Amino acid sequence: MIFVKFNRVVSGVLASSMLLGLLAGCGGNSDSASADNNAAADSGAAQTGEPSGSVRILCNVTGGKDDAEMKLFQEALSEATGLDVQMEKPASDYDNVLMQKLQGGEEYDLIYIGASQYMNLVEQGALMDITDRVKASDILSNNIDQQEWDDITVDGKVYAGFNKKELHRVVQLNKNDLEAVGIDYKSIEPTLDGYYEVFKALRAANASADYYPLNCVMSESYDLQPWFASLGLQNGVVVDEADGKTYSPYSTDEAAPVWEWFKKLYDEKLLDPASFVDKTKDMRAKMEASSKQTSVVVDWAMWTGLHNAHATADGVADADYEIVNLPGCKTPAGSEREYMLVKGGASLFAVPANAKNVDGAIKVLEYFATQEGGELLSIGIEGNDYTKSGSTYTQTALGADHANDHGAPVPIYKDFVNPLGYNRGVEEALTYLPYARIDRIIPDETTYKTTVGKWGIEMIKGNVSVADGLASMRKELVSLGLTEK
Amino acid sequence: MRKTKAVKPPREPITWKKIKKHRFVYAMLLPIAAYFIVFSYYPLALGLVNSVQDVKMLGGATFCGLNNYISVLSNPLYSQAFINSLIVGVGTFMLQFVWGLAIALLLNEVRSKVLKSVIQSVTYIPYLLSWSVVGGLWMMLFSPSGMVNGFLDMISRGDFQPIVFMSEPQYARVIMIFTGAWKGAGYYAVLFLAAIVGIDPSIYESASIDGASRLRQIFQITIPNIVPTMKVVTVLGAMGVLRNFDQIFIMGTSSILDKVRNLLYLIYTQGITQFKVGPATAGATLVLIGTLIISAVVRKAIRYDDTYED
Repeated sequence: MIFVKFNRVVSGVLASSMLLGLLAGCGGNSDSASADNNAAADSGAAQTGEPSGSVRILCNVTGGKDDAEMKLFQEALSEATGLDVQMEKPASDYDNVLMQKLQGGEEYDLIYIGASQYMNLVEQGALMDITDRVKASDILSNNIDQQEWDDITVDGKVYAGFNKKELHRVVQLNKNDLEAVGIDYKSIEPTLDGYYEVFKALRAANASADYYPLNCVMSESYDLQPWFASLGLQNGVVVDEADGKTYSPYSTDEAAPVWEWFKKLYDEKLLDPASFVDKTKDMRAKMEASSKQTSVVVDWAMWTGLHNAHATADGVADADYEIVNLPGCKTPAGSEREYMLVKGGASLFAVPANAKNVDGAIKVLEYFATQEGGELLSIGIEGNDYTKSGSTYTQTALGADHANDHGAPVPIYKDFVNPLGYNRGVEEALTYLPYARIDRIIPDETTYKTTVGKWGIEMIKGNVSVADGLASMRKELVSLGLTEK
Repeated sequence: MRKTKAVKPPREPITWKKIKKHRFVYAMLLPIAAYFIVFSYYPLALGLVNSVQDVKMLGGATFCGLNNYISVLSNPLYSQAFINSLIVGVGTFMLQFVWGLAIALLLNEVRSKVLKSVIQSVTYIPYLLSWSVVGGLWMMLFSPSGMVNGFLDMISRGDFQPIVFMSEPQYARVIMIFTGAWKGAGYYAVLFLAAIVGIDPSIYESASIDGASRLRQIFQITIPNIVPTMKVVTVLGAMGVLRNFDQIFIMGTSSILDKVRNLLYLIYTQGITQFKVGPATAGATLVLIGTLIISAVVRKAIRYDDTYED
C-alpha cells in the first residue's frame, strides 16, 4: 500500500513536471546582474585610451557559414581591431537563446537584435546608452547616414550600432514573362489599373492551374505597401498629427479601393490564393527560375540579385530568366514621396547594460562602419571567400556559394563599394532606396501583421464586405492595444 | 450474488528505520531525484518566483504581487487561447483514442505477420516525425494546388476556385484535430496492441467453443480486458491537452490563428519574442495548474486509482 500511495504521489508529480520545461527558459535573474548594471553604467561613461582585451559577441546572422569559417571570421575581426573577439552563433532558435543568456546574467559586449527586440530591451533597461560614445566617434558619426541613427534613437538616446544597412522591398517582375506578352516593364503604368492590365495579360498567356501572375504574402503587411502607395497610405502604425493618436492607415475607410482591387485580382485568378497562407520562402520558391509559378512579387531588394544568381548557378542563361525591379504604384499628386516603399527594421548590435568592454564593443562597431569592415561582412574573408591581388578581387568558389553575405550584404558604411559588384539586378533595385522609409517600431509587430492579414484575407475572399472588414480590423487593433483608433 | 468489498490492510508508515534498511534501493533513486530537482523543480521554482515579479532581462526584478496573473487573466487573447487549447486538445485526444483503438483492434485480426508489421510501421511513423515535417506535408496537401483541391477540382463541374483550407477559420480546428490525431494514432495503437496481445488466449478459445463471433469477442473480451490500458492512455492524454505547441507554431496562419492559437503558443510569443517574462511565467503557471486540475478530474472520472489499487 505504501507503493500505491507512493505511486499516486509520483504520478501527480510527473503530471506537473511535464510542463516544467515551459518555465525553464524563464528562470534565473540574480542580484549580480543588477550589480553588473551599475558597474556597466560606470564603464559606459568612461572612455579609456585604445580599446583592448576581449570582446564577447552573441550573433545570429553575422560571421562564417560553418564552425571553421566562423573561426576564420573571428580571427580576421580580431586582427583588424586588435581585440580578442569571441563570437557565439547559436545554431538555431536565436531569440530563445538570447533571452536565456540575458536572463541568466551572462555578459556580452555586443548582442545581435532586431528593431522590435531593440524597443523591448530599451524599455526594460537592458541596454546601455552609448549616445555620447557615438557622438565622440568620428567613424560612427561620419561614416553612417544620420537618418540611420535617427531611426534607432529612442528619447534622444542610442543603445546600439549597426550590423548592416537595411534595404527596402521592391516590386520584382519576371522580365521574360512580360516580354513574352509584349510588355516592356519600364512602360508599365504605375497605377493599380496599370498593373491589373499587366496581370490580365500574363494570365491570358498562361492558364496553368499552378500559375498566378501575382503572389503577395498577406501575413507580411509590408508586401502591400507598393500597392497602398497608390492612395498614399503608409504601412504599419502611424501617429495622426491632428489628435496624436496612433492608427493603421491600411484599416481606414480610405484604404477600401486597394482591398477591393485585391479582391478583384483574387476573383479573376490573378492573385495566387496561396498568398493567404504562403510564407516568404514559399513566395520566393514560386518566383525562382526552376518553378516560375508567378511573375510578380514584392520582396527585399537583394532578392532580385539572388533569384538571378540562383538561375545562373543552375545553368539558366541570363537571356532566359531575369528578374527586374519597379517601385510599385505612384502616390497621389502632392504626396511627400513619388513612390512609397518599406525599408527593413534595423539589424543591430546592441551593447547590453552589463557589458564589460564597452570600448572594445565600440571599436568593433566602428570597424563594421568602414570599407574594410564592410568587406568582411559582405564578401567575406580574404583567402577564403576571395583572393586579392593589388586592387583586384577574385571570388573563390566557396565565396560564390556564400553569395556575398557574411551578415551584411549591404554594409552600413554610407560610401561602401562592393569590390566584387552586386548580383544582377541589385543596382537597379538600389536606385529605389530613396523612396523607402522605415516603419514606426511597435513592440508587438507580429500581432499587428497577423490582424491586418487576417481581415485583409476575409475582405479579399468576400467573407465580409470591405467596409465591415475595415471596421473589424480597426476595432481589433484597438482592442489589442496596437492602435488607438 | 452479494458483492463484498475487500478490506484493505492498514498502510505501514515509512520510518527512518525502514529507509535505512533499504538504503541501497533509495540510493538508486538519487540520480533520478537529482535529475528532476535540477532540470524540473529548480526551473519551476524560478518560474513561480518570476511570475510574481516585474522581471527585466538584465538587472534586479521587483515583486509585483499578482499583477502578472491579473494581466494574463484580463487579456482576451488568453481566454480565447484557453478555449482553443481545450477544444483542439480534447478533440485531438478523443479522435486519436478512437483511431488508435480501431487500428489496434483491426491489426489484431490480421493474420499475416508481414502485413501486420507493415501496417503497424506505416501508422506509427508519423508519430516519430516532427511537426515541421508533418505540418508541412498536410499544408501541402491542403494547399490551393494540393491533392485535396485537385480531387475537388476533378469532381467539380465548371469553374473551380480552389479552397485555401489553411486560411478558412471554419476548417481550422477540424484540420488541427484531424492532423494531430493522424500523427498520434499509431502510437496509441501500439499501446493498445501491447495490451491486447497480453490477453489470455484461452478466453478467446472458450468463447469460440461457445460460438461467439469475432465481433462479439472484440466487444466482450478484448475491449473489457484493455480498459486498464485505456485508463492510462486517457490520463496521459489529459495531461497533454494544454501542452500542444509545435503543431500550431507550424500550421497556424494569420487567418486561422484566432481559432487555433493556444496557451503555449501565446506564452511563447509573449515570453520569447517580446521578452515579457513575468506575464509569460504567470501564464505557464496557470497552464500547469490547469493541467493538474484536468488530470485530477479525469483520474477521478475514470476511477483510475481504483484500477491500480486493487
